[in-house]
Amino acid sequence: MPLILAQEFAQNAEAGTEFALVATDPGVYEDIPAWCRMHGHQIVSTDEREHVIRITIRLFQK
Amino acid sequence: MPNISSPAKAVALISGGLDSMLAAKVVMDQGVNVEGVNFYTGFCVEGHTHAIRKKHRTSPKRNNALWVANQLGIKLHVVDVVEDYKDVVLNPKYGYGKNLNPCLDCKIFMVGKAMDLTGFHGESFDFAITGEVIGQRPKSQRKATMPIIAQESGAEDRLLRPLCARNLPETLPERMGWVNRESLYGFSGRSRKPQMELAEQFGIEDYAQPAGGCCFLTDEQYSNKLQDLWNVREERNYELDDVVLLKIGRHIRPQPSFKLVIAREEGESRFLQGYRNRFTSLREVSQKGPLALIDGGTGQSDIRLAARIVARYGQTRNNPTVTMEIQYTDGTSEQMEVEPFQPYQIPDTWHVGA
Repeated sequence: MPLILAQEFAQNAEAGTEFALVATDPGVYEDIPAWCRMHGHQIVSTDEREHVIRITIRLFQK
Repeated sequence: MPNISSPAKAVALISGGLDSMLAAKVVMDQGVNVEGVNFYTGFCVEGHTHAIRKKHRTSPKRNNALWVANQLGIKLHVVDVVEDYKDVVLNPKYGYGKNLNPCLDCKIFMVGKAMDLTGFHGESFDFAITGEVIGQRPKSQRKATMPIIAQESGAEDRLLRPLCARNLPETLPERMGWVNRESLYGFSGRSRKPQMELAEQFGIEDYAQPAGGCCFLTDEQYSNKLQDLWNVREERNYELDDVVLLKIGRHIRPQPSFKLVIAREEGESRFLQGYRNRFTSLREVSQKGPLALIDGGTGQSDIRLAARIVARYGQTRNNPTVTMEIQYTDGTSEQMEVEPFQPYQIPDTWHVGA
């Protein structure tokens, strides 16, 4: 589940880290922005090629 | 312990449905600091299954628990409990419901896990909130089961059910004055009307209305497929991929030694592609048919039989012969020309779960 993977990554990463989440589940278009809003993370870019979605996220930095 | 400068802190079990949303909202409105939790068991209806099938085209492709938390303006813990949850499914102390749904054990498990959580700022929770309503569900939400959940989860009187609290003994948050009992509710029974009226009162217009609940284990066909898996393996156990694959495609078992998982539409074919390195897979060379996985024996006669079955579900099923491509887990592949089966050649008994 992409959301759980993103959450696990975020828990172990430094604030301000930028990472890319790669998924085939179109649900990420709703879920990842919602999760980012909730925790103050920032979506840097979103891209889809041949049903593979790549969302780059910058983790919240105080 | 909460005080004036630090209000009480509660964890709300958020399924993504209306009841848990209302329960959290009722408590938030009393000044309690609420965080949500949603548990990923592997059997959840939420999430990717909505995204895979066109059948769910009208359902928003979203995780409703996350959406609810956003609507409420609270943070949500999404907790992967796949491994720990196996014991609930395999050895439910209170047994199963109509299908393989261990609802009472599940609720005990989730409330216990929620109470063990630590908030996003590292503090423990003073109490837990659920959206349970007495009489709403025949197995787990009955007056007799409410104290069992509270006791066996370890939450005891720190478990608050705001939607039916006035039908139950006073809990710690009420006695401590963290919440006012008079502002809680006394809903009971299967009617959804009180919840819908409360939603209207709160100005909540959009909420998920899952048919059959949020868990695949309440589904008869799904439970039959899981039982088939256990029967064939002669072992009651599973891995996450097993239970995810049971949600996808037609499952046809022509022989005890193997079954086919055949995509029902393009979204499922794309999803099953992710398993091609773990299962032998078949598809028409023309790509005008579904992708299928073979779970089990892969002798040449098995593969020919499998190819004829899969060819029956392609657009070229009325052709005298169809060329199928078989891809093995080591990356090699071969082509095979087969006569597609006719519908009458696939007996109902081969359809797992039907």
